[in-house]
Amino acid sequence: MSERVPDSASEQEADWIRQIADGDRRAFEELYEVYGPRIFRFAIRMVREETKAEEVVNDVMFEVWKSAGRYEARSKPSTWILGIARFRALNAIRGKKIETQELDDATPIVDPSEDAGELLDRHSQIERVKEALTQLSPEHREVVELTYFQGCSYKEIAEIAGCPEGTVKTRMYHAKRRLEPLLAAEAAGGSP
Amino acid sequence: MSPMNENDARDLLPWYAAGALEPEERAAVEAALEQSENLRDELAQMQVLQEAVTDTAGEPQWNPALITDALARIDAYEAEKAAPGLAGKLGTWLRENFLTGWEGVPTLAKVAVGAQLALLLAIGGAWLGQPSSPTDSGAWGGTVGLDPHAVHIKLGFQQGVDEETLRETILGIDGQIVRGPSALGLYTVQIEGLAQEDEEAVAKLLADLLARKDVVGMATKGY
Repeated sequence: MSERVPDSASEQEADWIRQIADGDRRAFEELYEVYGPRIFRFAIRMVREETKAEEVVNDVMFEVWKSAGRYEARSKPSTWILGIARFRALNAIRGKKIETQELDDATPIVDPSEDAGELLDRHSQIERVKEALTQLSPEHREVVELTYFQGCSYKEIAEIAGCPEGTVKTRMYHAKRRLEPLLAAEAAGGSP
Repeated sequence: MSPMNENDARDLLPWYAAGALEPEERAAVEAALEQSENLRDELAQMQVLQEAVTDTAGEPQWNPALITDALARIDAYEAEKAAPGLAGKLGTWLRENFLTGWEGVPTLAKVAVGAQLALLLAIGGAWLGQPSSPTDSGAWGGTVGLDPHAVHIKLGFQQGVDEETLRETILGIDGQIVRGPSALGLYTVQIEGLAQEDEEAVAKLLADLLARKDVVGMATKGY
């Protein structure tokens, strides 16, 4: 999933979008098959509620159907579609209180196994990192998700989020800083 | 190309780990990695982060059947665009004024709401459309259906003709109003007891009506 989308895939997707603009339902089904799971995974990580994540997917794809004629191929189809998905997901979050911390004020997440002296297996450590990811603010979490799950470059993320590239790097820096104790322990081969 | 310093390389490590750098940036980061053990340690952390993010175990799984809902929504949207009927107009009006989620309302629900409003409008329209002094003679033809095989005439009355005269005129030709008055004040009157083939009788009827110049302004065959 972290592989970058090959250009041929982007071209195919751009063709589908053009066909959708002409009312081609078959092309819509093809695009849906590719993007439904991607948007869902992004949305479930952001919204953290299955039903809402499913709503986000169909809202996004409906928007794609309606707006396909306005897609000008200045950006990759994935950037365009994930931009819509980000907007919808953040809207869904606004209607739902999610406990997060502003990273600038947040202290690093401490690895609980340090005190307990436990030797955790890799799976448990990964689970801890996943849990810690849910504590990130939406703006920081989306950068991590878009990078590692969607394979987006920082330039694409800047386009998706509508912010400068430097802001994307800063958000990633804060996310790393927050997660560092857990990541360092696991990268070193388990709990100290 | 000048070598990338450690801090710049550190900024790009997450995207290096994700395989999401341009070739030139990737080469520069690799060069920096060769020079710095700290960077290599951080890269290992980024790889852990990547593993955590891409691990979907225990999360809800995508349901491909949701495409059925998406296609139904598109069908409703396209139908509304192509033929904006009452349900469509109601949807547009509601969406523009009150609702944000009308597009997501299932088609059947839209039709049901539209049908309910249509019923209300029909009841209200029938009530409001009743003449001020309704008659039991049947001349107003409120429940008379338009018979395509019957003779129909367009009838216009002179200005100032009262309702009683109008009714007597129509009853006098054994007619019933099936449509109107139009914006021009014309009524479509269905004539009982006359066949369309009986052109001579129809012509005489029209001539008799036009002869009443003080009452009838126009009389012609047709809907």
